[in-house]
Amino acid sequence: MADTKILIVDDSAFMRSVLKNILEGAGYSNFVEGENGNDARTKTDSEAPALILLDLIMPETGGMGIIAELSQKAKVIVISAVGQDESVNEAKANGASDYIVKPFENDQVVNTINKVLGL
Amino acid sequence: MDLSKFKELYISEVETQIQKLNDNLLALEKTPEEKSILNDLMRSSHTIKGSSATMSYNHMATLSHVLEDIFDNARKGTLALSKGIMNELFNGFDALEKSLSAIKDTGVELDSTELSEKIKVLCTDSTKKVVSKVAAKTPTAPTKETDDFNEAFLNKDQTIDEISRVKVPIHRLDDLMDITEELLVNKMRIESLSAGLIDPKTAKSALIELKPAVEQLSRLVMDLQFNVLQARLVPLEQIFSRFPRMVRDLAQKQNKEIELKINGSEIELDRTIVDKLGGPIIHLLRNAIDHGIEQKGTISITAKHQKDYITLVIEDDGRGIDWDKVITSAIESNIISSEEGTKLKTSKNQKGMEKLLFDPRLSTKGEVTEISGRGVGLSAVQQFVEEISGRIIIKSPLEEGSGTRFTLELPLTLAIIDALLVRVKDQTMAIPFSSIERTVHVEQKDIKTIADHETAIVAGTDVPLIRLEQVFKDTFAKEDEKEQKDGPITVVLVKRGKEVAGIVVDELLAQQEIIIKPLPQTLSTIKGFAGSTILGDGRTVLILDLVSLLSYISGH
Repeated sequence: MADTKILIVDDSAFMRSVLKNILEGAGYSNFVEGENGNDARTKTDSEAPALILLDLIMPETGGMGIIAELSQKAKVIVISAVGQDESVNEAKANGASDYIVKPFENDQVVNTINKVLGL
Repeated sequence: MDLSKFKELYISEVETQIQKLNDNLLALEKTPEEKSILNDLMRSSHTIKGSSATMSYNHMATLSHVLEDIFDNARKGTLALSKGIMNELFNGFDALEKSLSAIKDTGVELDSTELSEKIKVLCTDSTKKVVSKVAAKTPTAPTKETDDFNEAFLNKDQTIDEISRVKVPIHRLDDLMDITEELLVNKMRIESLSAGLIDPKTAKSALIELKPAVEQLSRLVMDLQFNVLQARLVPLEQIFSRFPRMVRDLAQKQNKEIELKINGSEIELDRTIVDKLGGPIIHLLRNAIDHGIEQKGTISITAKHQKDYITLVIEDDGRGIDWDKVITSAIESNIISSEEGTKLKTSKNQKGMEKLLFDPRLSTKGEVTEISGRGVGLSAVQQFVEEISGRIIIKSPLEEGSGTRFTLELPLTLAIIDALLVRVKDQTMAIPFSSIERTVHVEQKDIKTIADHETAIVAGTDVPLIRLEQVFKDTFAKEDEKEQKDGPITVVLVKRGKEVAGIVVDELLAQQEIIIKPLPQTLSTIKGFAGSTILGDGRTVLILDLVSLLSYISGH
């Protein structure tokens, strides 16, 4: 589990640090980071993560439009401050395994990830 | 989860986003049809919302949420951003910023419920109007509220936060590391050579090798100093980024149309200079807006690298300075006699006229400066420039009665030291911190006089005392009455190598960073002073030169 590679995509370095900290607390240690949708695409190909935590609202390329593509290559969990049902439904229809709304509880993040990874 | 360790990252990220919000909304004012700016504005608010909610700063989160909604609606075309809404948005940015600095200082955010509600209502009202196609024209004249807001903002912005952190490029830190390593090697070399001096067999060769080793040391120390000064450089951007907002608000308040052009904000200067530069530039900008530009015009701020200094040019195309009126005001303020004034009006001696413009007595009279076109705070600007050994050049009018150009020549780096300011009789003096061992109180019974010289016993050791009023007899006012104290005296222990001496002072004033200015040529033969510095209040203070002071002691 510790070497499960997780790609964290968020334009905020603060958010990435917080997420990483939560995951480290749950025993994960293998992280790759991305700042926008393009980053997410490139790093999914070059790093082959098992799981992608994806923000939606980011500069240049956002998250929503690439879920379909990314979910072919890895499990995708959306983590976004956008909480509307339409957004959740759209993301899931595009192939997201789950959807976490910011602000989140630590346990919620860890449980969702473990569930999606089948742990 | 303990989020406190993320606080710094949160603050710096939100700071950046708030600056982006300001920049982008200013840009949107100029090009309202640009949809991509609205996207950026929405994204920045959204990021602040998410991060703030994660940190449980709920007021910040709510406020950025309502801002995000406004930008989202504007993006979709369901809300028109009127001037009134624009002002409220800026108001919102300021509230975020204030709350953020409260978080920085006290760890607690500010309550912004009222403002959030207000903006929310504003948004829904206007949305309804647009949706129901009620073409209500929003008033363009500033309302009472926006006036208050402008006032608050401008007051706040008269001071720009001191720069407390600098970003240092990695390669500069690497250079410093390299030098440090070389210094360590050099230190070991000198240590082993000096150990070799003791043994007569190795003494001679050690002595010969010592010279190049010490030369290397001095080169390394110079390198170190250079690199540290480089690391202190910060881009002018840090203060320039404030000005578009400031000029916009001031111009709007006076119903003027002013374009601000900024060039060279990437240029780097010493942190201390950049810190001090904000106030003077604000003075010059305010002058240009209040007195220079009448209805519509352009102000430009241009920073440029010259050979070994930076020029900062602040220029406007408003009405130029009316020098005759400056002279008249100077006569009215009793700065010069009317004969001198008449003479100056004929000779048009530029130096003479500028001197009047910078005279603090001229700038205290509000209505006088109002008609002279310039003046408020100019003496403060000049004082700043002198403090950092720079120069100020005025050209006005630039052509046919219009346009004013202030050119500030600023040194690239400064010789800055930490010093202790002390009072000795009627004089304030600065003692370089690097030479100070500590300060002590000495009881009268522990002071002995041997062959005309005073010695104090400090922790069992005899320390020669230096009384500055005796060393520099001419510097001090003649004493009417001997200020003979019975209680303990304050002594600053200074050392150089193994020599220790105590400087007797009357009062310890402050510890602060000072900028060393060399003594003028005419005074350079005077022993005992390393230079002078100008304090924040404009007083010139001499800096003690411990090398010559200590040799004064041993010479006796």
